[in-house]
Amino acid sequence: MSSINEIIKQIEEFPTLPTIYATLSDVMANPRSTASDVASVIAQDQASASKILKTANSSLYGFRGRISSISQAVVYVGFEEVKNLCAAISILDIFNMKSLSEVLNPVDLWKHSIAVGVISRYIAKTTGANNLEDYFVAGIIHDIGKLIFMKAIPESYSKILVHVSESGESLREVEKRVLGITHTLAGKLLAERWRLPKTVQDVISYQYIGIKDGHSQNLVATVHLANVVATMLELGKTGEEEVPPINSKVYKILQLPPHFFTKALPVIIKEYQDSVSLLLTSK
Amino acid sequence: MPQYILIKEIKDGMILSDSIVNNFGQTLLPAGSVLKESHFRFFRTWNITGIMIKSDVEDEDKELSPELIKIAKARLQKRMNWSPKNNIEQDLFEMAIIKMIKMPKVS
Repeated sequence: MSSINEIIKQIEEFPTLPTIYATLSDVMANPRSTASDVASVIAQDQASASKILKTANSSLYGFRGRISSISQAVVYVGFEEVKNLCAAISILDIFNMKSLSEVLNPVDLWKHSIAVGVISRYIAKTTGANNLEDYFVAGIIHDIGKLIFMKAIPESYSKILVHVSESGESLREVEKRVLGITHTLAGKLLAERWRLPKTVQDVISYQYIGIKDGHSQNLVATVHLANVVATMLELGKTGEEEVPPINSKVYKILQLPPHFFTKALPVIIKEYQDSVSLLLTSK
Repeated sequence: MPQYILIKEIKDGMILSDSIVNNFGQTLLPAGSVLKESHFRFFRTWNITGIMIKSDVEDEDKELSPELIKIAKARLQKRMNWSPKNNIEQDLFEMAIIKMIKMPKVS
């Protein structure tokens, strides 16, 4: 079994987020940048360019089939969302791998993460939160620690997943006992290394608790709840059968309207299917 | 409820739920088209890897009968070591049951 030090060393050697993300952040930080400046950065990366176009033309935005250039897409979809989509596409690319485990494969875990992203964004929209796309990206990234283990120590992690599925023990407890580090800590270390926003790092660390005071409060509470919803709906897989409990304090923070979930179901399922088709299919 | 499938999963008689549109806004195949396995080549030519189809009518029209609700509830409770304790959790529980009965293939 790999020791904690070996895993941390592997995290330090992980690829950085591609330059397109850093370049986009720089271009967008300049108030004089125009949509064509942003478009010219995206155009350098063919995979991102075609997915941004597909996104802009998908039912998520309602301009179906009418957007034909990247700069048009940037205007309609928005600067921040384009940046976050590029981040999601880059992260998916880094963790594009096959699994040794029969219990959990990366595609099913990505489906779960996309579901959490879609549900988080939907909750955020309803509760009037700003930066909706932060919610989507936070959902996509919340379980990144599991992907790190699947990539860094595939055989050991496969055994852990089988053990958890047979024994019903908590995944994080087994990870801690066998590896000396949980997927939440491993994920946070990578998010730090990638210099992702502190709020996103908090989501990874506090997703099971659901509460973190300060700037991250709403984001952490939302992703905590969305993770339970996605697990209940069986959208993708998490490596654990059991539906985690909800910290009841999140209801006070989010103030959801009555019958929120039963009304949201058709929209959530449609957005989930659109996002899966967009992000998990090649080209 | 539309369902996403990969083009290799296309079977004769499936119905396209969303039109296929190219980047210039031209419709290549309208929503409602009845698909044949031979459409696989058409989608591959256009570099389309997956499409939305109308899901089985029997699932969408399935009534939430007491018997089906009972089965779905038991399946859900088996995966939970907590029970709904307020209106939000009750609503969440109901949503999961509706999804299990009406959209069992969406995963």
